[in-house]
Amino acid sequence: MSKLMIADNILEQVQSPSRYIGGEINTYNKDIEKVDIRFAFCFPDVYEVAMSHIGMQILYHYFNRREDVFCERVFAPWEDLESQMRKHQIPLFTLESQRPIKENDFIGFTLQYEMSYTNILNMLDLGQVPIYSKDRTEKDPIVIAGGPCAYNPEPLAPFIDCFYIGEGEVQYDLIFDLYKEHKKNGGSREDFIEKMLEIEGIYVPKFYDVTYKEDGRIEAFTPNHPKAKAKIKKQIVVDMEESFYPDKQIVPWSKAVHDRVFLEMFRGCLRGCRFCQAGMIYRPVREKSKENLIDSAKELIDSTGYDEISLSSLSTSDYSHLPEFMDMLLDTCQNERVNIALPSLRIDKMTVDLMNKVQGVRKSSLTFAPEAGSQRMRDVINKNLSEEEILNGSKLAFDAGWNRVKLYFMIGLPSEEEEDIRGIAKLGEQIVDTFYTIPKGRRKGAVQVAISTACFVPKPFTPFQWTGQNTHEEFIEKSRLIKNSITRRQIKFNHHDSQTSVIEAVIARGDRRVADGIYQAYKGGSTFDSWTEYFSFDNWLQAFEKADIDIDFYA
Amino acid sequence: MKRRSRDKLLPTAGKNALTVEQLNLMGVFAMKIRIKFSKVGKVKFIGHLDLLRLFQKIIKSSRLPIAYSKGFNPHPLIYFAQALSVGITSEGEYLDIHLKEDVNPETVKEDMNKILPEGIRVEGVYILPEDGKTCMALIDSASYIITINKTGEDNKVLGKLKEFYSQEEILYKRISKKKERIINIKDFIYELEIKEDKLDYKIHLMLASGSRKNLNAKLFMQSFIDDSGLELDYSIHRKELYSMQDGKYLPLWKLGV
Repeated sequence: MSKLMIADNILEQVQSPSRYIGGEINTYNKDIEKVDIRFAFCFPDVYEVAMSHIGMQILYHYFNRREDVFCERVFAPWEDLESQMRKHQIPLFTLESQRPIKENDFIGFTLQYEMSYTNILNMLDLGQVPIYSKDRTEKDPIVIAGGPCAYNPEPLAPFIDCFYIGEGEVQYDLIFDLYKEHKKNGGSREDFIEKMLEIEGIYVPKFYDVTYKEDGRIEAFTPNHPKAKAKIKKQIVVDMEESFYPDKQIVPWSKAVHDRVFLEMFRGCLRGCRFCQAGMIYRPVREKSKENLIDSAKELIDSTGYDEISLSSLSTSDYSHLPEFMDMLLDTCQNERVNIALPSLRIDKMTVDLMNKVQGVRKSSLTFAPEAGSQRMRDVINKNLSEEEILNGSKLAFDAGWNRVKLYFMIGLPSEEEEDIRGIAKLGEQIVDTFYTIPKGRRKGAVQVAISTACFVPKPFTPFQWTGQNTHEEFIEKSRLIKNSITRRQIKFNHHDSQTSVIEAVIARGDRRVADGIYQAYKGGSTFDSWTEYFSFDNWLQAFEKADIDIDFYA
Repeated sequence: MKRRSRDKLLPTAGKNALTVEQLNLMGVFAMKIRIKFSKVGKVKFIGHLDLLRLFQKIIKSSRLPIAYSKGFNPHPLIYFAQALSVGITSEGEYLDIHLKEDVNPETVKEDMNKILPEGIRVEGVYILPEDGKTCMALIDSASYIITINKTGEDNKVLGKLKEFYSQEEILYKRISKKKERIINIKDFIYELEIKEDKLDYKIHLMLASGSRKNLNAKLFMQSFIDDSGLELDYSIHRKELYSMQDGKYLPLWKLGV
């Protein structure tokens, strides 16, 4: 058992001290003296959020399957521990060996959402690693970043040494082998970063120069090194069937946001919704066979003792052998006494039958994501879901005993008009009306419809990447319009904060100059920006002003 | 009393739930066992609810034939004895499990210890009589060793401790949301012995514990610290849980077979 980095008396004062001790079931405990490469996998948020991330679980076990690599986890300490750490000069540490992160060969960040970026800077600072790449020396780890947001790496370019674009299972073995060889021959850190240029999918920001036009747009983006590639090719796993998938999952000490077995069914999505970045960057669709999935499910249930399993993919309804697979899974789960947590599915006869089988008596709510309030708008965004499907699906479900419906929408979509906004409330009312067409004997209790709207953020690499975002004021007006259009007491309305969406939009399609804005925001005290209790819009506005960033230009 | 058929299988409500065999009127178990376990080192920072969930997983993973409750929402029949506060280590923790098949206690101990994380260990597995009470209901007291590390102020500690304990009444102000209550915690202290070593003082303590009467060891130390005004570097370790049987305190494992 490694000695804890944080003293007992401090741990006893903080919330949920088990976040910081390591040693969970299915973690590794290697001898740091006996491995060749130490890799600190950093998720820039708190333990309970980080442990819900399926990507980390996959890569953690993927890296650690190599005897010469020790991959450890690092998460953002909560505010109560951070203030103690700063007070007592305690550096940020890894959970497994409880050692400072700066001792590692690599520090890897996963970029899952833009609002986690200030936490990245904070973790580097707490880890006593220079925040800017240019300030790092031979003794500092190589800072690498990957994940969905890495596809637009520029807002973090000054802080990250190299970006990995694509899926981790493809190139990391090569990176580790090259690094081992390089270290053995006494090569320097700088030289290795340069060597990374040769690896497909790696982007090293310092080897590219950016120039800007008078009007602010990018004039040129040019490599300044002969080996720097003009285009970076995303790395994807081609054969999902033979690819590595862990047979173990780390079981967190405290209850994570998603605390169950994760079963990844397939990657990619065949839908092509125009706003969706994930659907675009994870193409093409690559499935695993149902036999393979059932084997994985059994292994994971066995090695963790979890009593619930979730199916993870972008559009589970589209899995090619869904009915047969579900029958096999239901069988396995019944024998193992495991519940199946269903993701959101297309609501049709097959799904309702399936949901009935799985949920039985205790029915949770039904989820639809129409994303837009009118058929015209849904066609614009290519969300293939008609009003008829929604109402018929609801009817089937209500008939079978469901009475709670959740609807997800976005506002601020391209070419949106007032009629589309009103359509959101109208759809909710139509669903309520549908409930009451079911005869009193068959329908259960009273219907509850929850409408939730988020603010559309244009993302790079989607067909909407050149659209402008609505202004903050426009978002507020639209959400007010919806609220006033809802007349039925059975409908609840919830609108997601538009302020974070504005900042998100600036970063999502930002260039290198936005990095300064992120740095200023961090200096001004912003961390945990995805948490409503910590996000400060004013702080960000001031930061952007200091960095000379025009929100309207980027958003 | 109506005789229920032992062989008839009745489906429970819910279309995906397993059918449950009704074995007898009392419950659906074949055997009851009591597991004694220790919790030491850094896992002392795992809270009670998290420990409960951990054991549910360990039990499931080790494939113990655990019995489930009847009804709409069957849950595994696991009963913990007494919650241990965060920060306290222990070598005397207990949980009772109802099983639907007979098991070999030694095998259970081996299987669970293979999977348990470092810091938690099954020390013994005992078969319980069918009509026995659960450990929760049995507990009357708990023994602790509180280790106070010697610092510059040592000479004061011993004196203050003796003074503290020699009071006829040891009053502690308990402040809850609604009111302030003053309780006499001496009532809850059954035994107290102080031993001095080269590097520390050890208080061997027996406190009232359980659902009927309970004093938390942390609270005991807090009231001493408040009373004496000393700053102490200490740790608390629970040794054993006891039940009063025929005028004597028996450790819970002795009530098994």
